[in-house]
Amino acid sequence: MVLKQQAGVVAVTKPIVTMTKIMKKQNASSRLMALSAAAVALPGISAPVQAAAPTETVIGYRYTAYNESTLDADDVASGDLGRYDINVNQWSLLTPIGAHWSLAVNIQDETLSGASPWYVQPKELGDDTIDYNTPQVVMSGASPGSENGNIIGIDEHRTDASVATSYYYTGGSISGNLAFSTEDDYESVSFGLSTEREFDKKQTVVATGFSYSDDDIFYEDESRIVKRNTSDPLPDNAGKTNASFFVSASRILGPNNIILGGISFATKEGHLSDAYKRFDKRPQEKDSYTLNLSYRHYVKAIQGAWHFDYRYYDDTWGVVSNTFSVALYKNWEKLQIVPSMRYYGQSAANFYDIYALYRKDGIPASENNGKDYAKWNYYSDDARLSDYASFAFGLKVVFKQKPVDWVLGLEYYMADEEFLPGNSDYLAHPGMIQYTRFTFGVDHRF
Amino acid sequence: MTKRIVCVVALAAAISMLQGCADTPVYKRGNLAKPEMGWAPDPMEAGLQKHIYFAKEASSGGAEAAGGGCGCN
Repeated sequence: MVLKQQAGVVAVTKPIVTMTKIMKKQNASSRLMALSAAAVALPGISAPVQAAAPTETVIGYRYTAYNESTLDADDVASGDLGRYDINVNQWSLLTPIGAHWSLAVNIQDETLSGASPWYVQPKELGDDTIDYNTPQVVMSGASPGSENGNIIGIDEHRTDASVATSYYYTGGSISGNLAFSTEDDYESVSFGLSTEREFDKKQTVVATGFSYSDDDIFYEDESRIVKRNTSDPLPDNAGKTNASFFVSASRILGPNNIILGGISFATKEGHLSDAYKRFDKRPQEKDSYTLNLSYRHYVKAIQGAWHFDYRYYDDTWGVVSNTFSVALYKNWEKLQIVPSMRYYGQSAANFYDIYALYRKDGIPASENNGKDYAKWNYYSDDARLSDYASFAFGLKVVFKQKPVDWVLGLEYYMADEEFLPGNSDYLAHPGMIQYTRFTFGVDHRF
Repeated sequence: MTKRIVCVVALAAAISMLQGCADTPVYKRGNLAKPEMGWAPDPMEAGLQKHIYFAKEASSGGAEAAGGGCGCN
């Protein structure tokens, strides 16, 4: 057989002259599909868009246990030290429909429980003495049965479902997807359209895409209202929208090298403040853009591939970030081992400060000549808006026993202000996150 | 806005330069079609990682369309 089928793409293993002779014996529809797939011979861009139609059905399942590390007692003013534990179940289906179409269905179900940061305050030493150089985080309780005063913890259930379909024609594809996500206090509906088109003897693929989401935010559980945002409370019919666009181009650089570059733009509008932070008031608009570069290099000697990815991000809130990641996909007979590392560093949002209630010189806003927050229109002490960096280390092992692949994955993530080069203008946030993620999964191809 | 224009121009220039690269015959693209050479060889893992980073970091987005949001805190 001339064509070697692998995971939805088709590799050409003999000269195209021979392929043409054999294809004359094939019926019209399979010939067209083989032409499209074989001529492209490119790895598809991330789902749902692929230039080549899948040639097999893949059913996948993943179970993930996500656990955030317990905070140090010295960093917590009150509340539980334990943070989120999340159990995630994922199911996916990707199947060809005839010669020109494919269908993809993905379902993700999460159960979350644990404590989350509510706000940050300076350490109280007693006798009305306050140490402004030692910030401490006030946490929620860990569960509905475990309270910090009347601050109830998080116990959440989230379900996410999406369906996507693609149409493949000679030289390209067009895809559409629809997604729905629901939580106890949040609902989101989104859709997207994307295209791929080949150029330059099918060595260059240009992809474009657009997506739009409409989200509703509300307090479903009355018992959690006590942990609501008191500085920017949710209005009736609170929500937000997000529209994004991207364009990318990939180019074959040789038999073992391929590169991709892309840019994207996104604009958000609506209630962007965190509904469960005590002092958190953010602008109602945010524009962001990214520049992406990806490079794949195949090394025959080790039967494996290097992955290098970089992303530059910039937004109108003042956050600039750089993300580098590298991974090695090493094949060893029926085993694939994938060590990986990721570095992420960001600057702080221009309305971030460690004490949302306090001026930077340590004078409480309540004593600021009666001007309540006069200095800031917006403010947040959310660690995710501070300046920090993170490292993530991953290891994945895939056991290939056709037609089934067994997957085991492990990731350790740690964020810290000290990982960022240079000096910070802020005190280190006491609520920085560390987590471990363990994944077990199986893929069945037929 | 200026940064965005610079990025678009830089990307367009880079693509134009790549057009000048030597051709790779179709029959030499076998390694490029291996699953491990994909941009996201494991879409389920990539989707979950993207979701976690979206929830825990201030940055999101890339060379793909964004999905819906979540009440992640």
